[in-house]
Amino acid sequence: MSYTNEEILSKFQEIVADALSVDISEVVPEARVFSDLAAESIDILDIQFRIEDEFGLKINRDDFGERLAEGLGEEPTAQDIDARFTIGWCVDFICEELQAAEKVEE
Amino acid sequence: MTRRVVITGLGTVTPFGAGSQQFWENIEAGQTAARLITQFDASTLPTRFVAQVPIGDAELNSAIKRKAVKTMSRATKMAFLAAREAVEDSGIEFDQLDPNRVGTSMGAGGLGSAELEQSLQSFAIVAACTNPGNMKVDAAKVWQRTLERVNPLTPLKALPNMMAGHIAIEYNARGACLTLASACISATQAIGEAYRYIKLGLADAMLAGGSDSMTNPNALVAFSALGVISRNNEEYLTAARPFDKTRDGFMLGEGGAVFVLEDYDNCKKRGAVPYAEIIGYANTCDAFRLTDEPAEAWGSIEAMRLALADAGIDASELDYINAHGTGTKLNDRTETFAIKSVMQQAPVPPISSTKSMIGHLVAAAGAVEAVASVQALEKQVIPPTINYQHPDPDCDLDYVPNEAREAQLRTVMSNSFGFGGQNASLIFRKTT
Repeated sequence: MSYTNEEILSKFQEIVADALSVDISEVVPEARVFSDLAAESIDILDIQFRIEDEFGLKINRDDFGERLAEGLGEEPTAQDIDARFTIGWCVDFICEELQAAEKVEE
Repeated sequence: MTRRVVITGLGTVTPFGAGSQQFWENIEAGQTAARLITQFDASTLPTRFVAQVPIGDAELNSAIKRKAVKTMSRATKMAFLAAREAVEDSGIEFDQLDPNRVGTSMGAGGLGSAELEQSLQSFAIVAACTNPGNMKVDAAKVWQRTLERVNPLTPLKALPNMMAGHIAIEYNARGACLTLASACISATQAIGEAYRYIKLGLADAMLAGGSDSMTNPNALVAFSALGVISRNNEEYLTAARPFDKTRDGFMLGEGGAVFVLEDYDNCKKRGAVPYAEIIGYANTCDAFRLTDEPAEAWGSIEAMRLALADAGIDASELDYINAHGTGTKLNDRTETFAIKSVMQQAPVPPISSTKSMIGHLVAAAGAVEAVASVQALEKQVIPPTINYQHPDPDCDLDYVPNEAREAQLRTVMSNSFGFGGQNASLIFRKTT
């Protein structure tokens, strides 16, 4: 199974809307997962589980954390992480993971 | 100095549906909630009927309208809706109170149907990890696969304290958060302990009650194995028949109820009209056998006596007793003996078992039966024990057979007894 970028975005939007009980129209690329969509830590675990299930991926939590903090200095602040952790960033992350697993249509 | 504790809000989800009024109308009319099981194939089980809440999980989810619903067990969902009804009913405004002096206290049991459906997936995993040649299960592989397959939110549904936790979050109740998991007396204890918190000045308001969902295959198997549920499938509509000579066990039910309990002065200050006052509570343990009550019934007698002493009243002041009345041979005989012992020379008041209509709600039983007791005071009507046809010489009291009865009620007691030899009694009084 392979995916186009549009498919990845729309599937991810569905997953997030369902997991966070928000309207899909709120799940726009610039929406911040924590401060705009009010996610809590267990929601991230839930979303990760659903992504892995949907796309047949296995996401390494350490890799995920490192990528999220990349280029934000030695000790990134909570605000820095929050600003970076948007729907758009997540979609890019999933695309890269799928590319690595050779599951994206070029 | 102790304070007076009043009930200002009721919320109920029962096999008659959501809503306290709906519950009362059905029990006053002596209806049965017994239904043949259609949610799963029960054809291989000795009991094929229960009293189920007629609201599906999807419908509960859309009524709750909270993200948190994905971490709620079925029992928690019912408790959440009951709490919402109770809070709206009471008119209490929590932002007018110190949140550190508002608490929650809930009686909780095991897992419900929705969660067990998910655990059925683990059977599939076990099957997939079974070597077909010799049927040997590769246990290590099972754990690995389970971790891959389990949604991380699922374990949160199984923790018994999540029920009180969800309610506390919803109403910003930052004070004591209690979870009582003491089988069939859980909710009675939860309400009783909440009453104590307010009485002793440790809290100003408490959301207290219980909820349980024991109408699933696992519960049916477990209670069948214990031999305590009725197997009278032919006459399932009348099988729940507490105190009747032909009784053969209880009917499993599900549901929940929540009360808003308040300090009387606060209630008066905000101009609210309470349903009733809680004036007495006690709980004891037989310290005898896990499931058998002693014939002398010392534990249940002592619970009733201590509750009367806590209330500072004489047994002769009781106008009605909502019995534990499960419909097992042993419970009904022993409870009858215990009540007679407590009353001594005083005339025994009318007694009834609402379990004849809604079944045994296990951890939630005491909460829903406390609602019935409070409603009896409010309406001045005693709900009946239905399906009562054959008098039993061992059960020779007035059980309000088959039809509700108007009566002048001022003081009412509700009993709960449970596995582990636990006993609890609550006493309610009409506020005037």
